[in-house]
Amino acid sequence: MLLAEVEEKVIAAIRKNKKDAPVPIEVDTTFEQLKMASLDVICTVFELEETFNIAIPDDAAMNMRSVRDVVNGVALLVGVPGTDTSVESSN
Amino acid sequence: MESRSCHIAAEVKNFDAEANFSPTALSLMDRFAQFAVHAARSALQDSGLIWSEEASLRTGVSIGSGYGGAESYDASYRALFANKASRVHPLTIPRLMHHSGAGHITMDLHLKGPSLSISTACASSTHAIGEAFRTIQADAADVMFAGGADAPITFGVLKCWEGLRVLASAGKSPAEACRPFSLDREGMVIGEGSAVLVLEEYEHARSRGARIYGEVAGYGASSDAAHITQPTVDGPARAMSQALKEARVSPDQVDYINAHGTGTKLNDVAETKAIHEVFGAGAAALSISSTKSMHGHLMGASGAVELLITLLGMQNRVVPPTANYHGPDPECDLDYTPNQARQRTIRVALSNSFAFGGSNAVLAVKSL
Repeated sequence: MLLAEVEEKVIAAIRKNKKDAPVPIEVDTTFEQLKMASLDVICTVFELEETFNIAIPDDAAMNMRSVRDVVNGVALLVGVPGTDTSVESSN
Repeated sequence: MESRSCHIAAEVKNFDAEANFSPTALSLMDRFAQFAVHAARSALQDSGLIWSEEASLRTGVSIGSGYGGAESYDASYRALFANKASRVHPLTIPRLMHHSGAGHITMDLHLKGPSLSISTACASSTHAIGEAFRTIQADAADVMFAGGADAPITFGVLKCWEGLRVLASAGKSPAEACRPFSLDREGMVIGEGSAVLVLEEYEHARSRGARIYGEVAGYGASSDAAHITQPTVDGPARAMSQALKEARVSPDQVDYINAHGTGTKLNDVAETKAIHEVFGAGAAALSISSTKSMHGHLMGASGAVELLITLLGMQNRVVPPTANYHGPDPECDLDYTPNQARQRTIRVALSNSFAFGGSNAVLAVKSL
């Protein structure tokens, strides 16, 4: 799977679970700009787990702050070629 | 449904959830909560109450439900056990909890007084209305939106009831499956739905010129302390007597009893004996009916629907019938208003609800 495909699916998942998003959902949009409430985040996480057939750990789910955080995290979990795995090892 | 005999249920048909709620709201609401909010909105509209911040602080909610979010339980368990899913939808808990019905009403109507959820099986909404009455008596609120909601028609819930062998079979005519007090009765038909009534402190209602359907004059609540499913005569009789005593009416002033009347062998006999015990020789002059013969047993929501029917009967001077009555059981020897509604002025009425667990609740209402 390519990074562009992950981006597209992540944005679709957020859009589905944040129907009243106050700003357009793009890779650089933050959750603060989107006014994501905790229920919006956990519903998006559930959607991503189902879409990508992955399990997102609780701490990762709680620490997502932007669309890019989500894309990077999902890319790691699905093993997108070229994903910087040093992020994982540095934690 | 695979089964030895074919059981049926009394579904609410044509309820358009999408027309009543936004997709975001629906994602948080089980079917029972949708029913509860829909009924509360209609009650508000009918009441003519006008919202203000000050009034909202003195307006509460009391909702009875036997099951809470039965569909949400069923769907999540099906996903886990049958479909071997490793996770369930994150909004399952907010959807399935019993208090979601009352909670959503407070949010939808912006009511900031006390909110209660009561679960006493098949007596839930009668208790919920009774406790709302107590809340107003105690001056903890001026207005209470009180009633019940249940949506228990799921595969899981129906199979559980089937195991207890108290469900009526569809037979040749499904509409005639529920036959309370009739010699050939076979059991109950599970239904679903909601009714919400507006209870209001009398002077509060009078001063704003409210249209008053009747006065909640007494509430009796008792426990059998005997058996988890088998009713007693004594427990229901004490609840009826308490309601009459609080209402300060003598048994001969009662014109109508909306019976619990589930259509099971045991309930209908025990209830008849309890009525004899409370009313003595006057029992024969009562008009009684089980409207479950027409709307089914809405579980925790039944009592609210039945009180609503009782008040409409009072207003229209009509006793609703017991439908599907095919002939007298020697042990059920009262006037159950068989098959035809009857004109009668109803001065005082009782609405009975008796639950598994041996919990009994009775409301006495007076015409004004």
